[in-house]
Amino acid sequence: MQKYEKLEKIGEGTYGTVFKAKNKETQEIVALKRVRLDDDDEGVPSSALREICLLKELKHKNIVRLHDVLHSDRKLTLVFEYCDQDLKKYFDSCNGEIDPDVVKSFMYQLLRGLEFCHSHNVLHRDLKPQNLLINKNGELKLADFGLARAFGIPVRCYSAEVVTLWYRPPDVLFGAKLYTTSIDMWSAGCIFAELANAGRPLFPGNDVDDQLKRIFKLLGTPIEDTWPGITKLPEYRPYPIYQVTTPLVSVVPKLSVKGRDLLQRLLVCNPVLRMSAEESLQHIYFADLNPAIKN
Amino acid sequence: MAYRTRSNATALQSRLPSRENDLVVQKSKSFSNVGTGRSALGAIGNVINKENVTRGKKLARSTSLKPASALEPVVENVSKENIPTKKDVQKRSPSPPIMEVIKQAFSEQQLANVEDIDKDDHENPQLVSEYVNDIYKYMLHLEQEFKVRGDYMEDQEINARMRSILIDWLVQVHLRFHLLQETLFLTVSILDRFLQIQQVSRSKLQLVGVTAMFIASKYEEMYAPEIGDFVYITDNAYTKSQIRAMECMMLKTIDYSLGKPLCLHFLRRNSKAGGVDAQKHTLAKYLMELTLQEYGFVQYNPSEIAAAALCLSMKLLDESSTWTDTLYYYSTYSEEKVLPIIKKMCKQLVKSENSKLQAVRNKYNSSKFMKISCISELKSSIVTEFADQAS
Repeated sequence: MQKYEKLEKIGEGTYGTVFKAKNKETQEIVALKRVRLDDDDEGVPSSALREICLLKELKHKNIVRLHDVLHSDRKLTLVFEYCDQDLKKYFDSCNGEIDPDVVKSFMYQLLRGLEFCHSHNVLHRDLKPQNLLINKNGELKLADFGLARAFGIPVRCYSAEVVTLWYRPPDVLFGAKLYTTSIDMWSAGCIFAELANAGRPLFPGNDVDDQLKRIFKLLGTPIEDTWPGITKLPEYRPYPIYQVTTPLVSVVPKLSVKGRDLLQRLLVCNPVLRMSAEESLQHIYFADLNPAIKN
Repeated sequence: MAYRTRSNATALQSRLPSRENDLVVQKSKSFSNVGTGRSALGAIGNVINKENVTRGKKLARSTSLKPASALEPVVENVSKENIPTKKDVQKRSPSPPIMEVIKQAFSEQQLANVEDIDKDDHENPQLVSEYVNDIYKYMLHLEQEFKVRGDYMEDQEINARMRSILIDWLVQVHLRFHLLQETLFLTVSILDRFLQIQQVSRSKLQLVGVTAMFIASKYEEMYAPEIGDFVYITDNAYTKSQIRAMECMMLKTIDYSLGKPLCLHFLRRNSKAGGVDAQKHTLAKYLMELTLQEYGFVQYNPSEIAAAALCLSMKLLDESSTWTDTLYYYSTYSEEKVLPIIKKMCKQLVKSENSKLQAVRNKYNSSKFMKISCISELKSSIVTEFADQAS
């Protein structure tokens, strides 16, 4: 660990403590994620294994760069590029007001990073503001791939214990194990609304039941007609048929009509009908995006 | 008895089981991931209930985004033409990505007979039709990055025979732990990429093998066996801390590259392109698994092995079948290109009958695998003729 000088603790990732540090030779500021191996009889945690392996392959400007992996007897240290803050902290610092162009820029970068993951057969499975990093230049990067995994085609069953509750799609809330890229698109929709509202979470549920109720109260309760197969999901329970009473415009008042249209297409309960990252990048909402961000 | 005592652990060859039931089977242990729903064919085609989904889709699209439309008045300012639908965005095949990879290999008129094998998949998200061509293009690129040298064992203490014995044993462990097929192929991939860089003594070869499977399980499985299970399966030949130390060393050596595509991935694509039945697919899987233990195959890319396996399987089970343009296109190989591998596979088939290493053959003699390793077609003249021609 001589190469880096620890500066301060930044936070806790899925499986390790994250520090801000300085490369003593180059003065470069980096983020170190430290995984203690002696805590775990099972050797390198599978989350670290997957994160390292996936991030070594996923080189994209909207995905956090893994510079290096350092081994010692008792710990594993992942050296990441440093970003100034995550989206959660950004929300805290912006006093309830985010410029609509910034919302658009962040959303575009999020979707572009996701599109890169999905077209390289990787699901993130834990998108939330804390896992999106923002740097001084207004660049957004997907981070914390501790729950991510590569998928084959046809996609097979994976764990249903994924995605932080507030950003978890209804199919996974009902215990679906057969999910695909659409799992991340729901989270992206939730984050979009949260961005538009400068940090107010869209569905801050207390538990799975409360989470589903909040979703259905806004979007209407899905039934077999709108979502064939819903009643066959492993943990399906019938919910009251909520009528949609709140127009989306009052949920995200600062979002433009086009933005609301995109949001509507992401927040679709039936995963089959949820818009993909590739499609959403082409959405008219982004037509007037600053060309500097597009390139 | 094989793998019983630590003192025997140094003499790898002498300890190796000659029959499947020689594998140490002690008190029964349960693993939480006993393979449910891992049928041989998975969902190669469009297994989804189309009628329902189409209905759902129509509802959502034609009545302007129900249920979302209920949220607010139909977005009128946004003209429909400007909003991309799946159709617009969907890449149509023959799609540019794969074409780039193989364009040199094709003449214009050959491409004319290629069908779009994903065109009916838009309703089945499991088939990821939107990204499937990008993903396979990426896999073809990745396998080039992780090639294994065909001569890596020269000047090593270990040899091809030891490698075969180890893999035969790993096949049995894999079966016993009820692991995914991917995990077995990944195990062997990790093993070879490690061995081609790192010299290993004969006494450590089993440790390397079991650790490769430990790593592959963590990467691939939803519920990986615990480290203690791997210690147990070697009959305590190695300790947990030895496995952990080897894990670190192996991960460092192969630089955490666990994402190398497997021939299994390519076979699924090929089987779909060929529209083959479960028997042909299963035979191809058997052929691929037979290649795992044969050192002579490490030099080939997974995509080549997958193409050869399906091509041979089709020849054996249906003499009238042909390697169509569609198969050529999606596998990226012509029949001629994979013929040398097919011949080697035949040689391996012939060899397997009298080999002491029977794990793969026994495994595929179960009804789960359609008893494919014992079908009479494997003794056909095609096999013996090709075997004779093998280099």
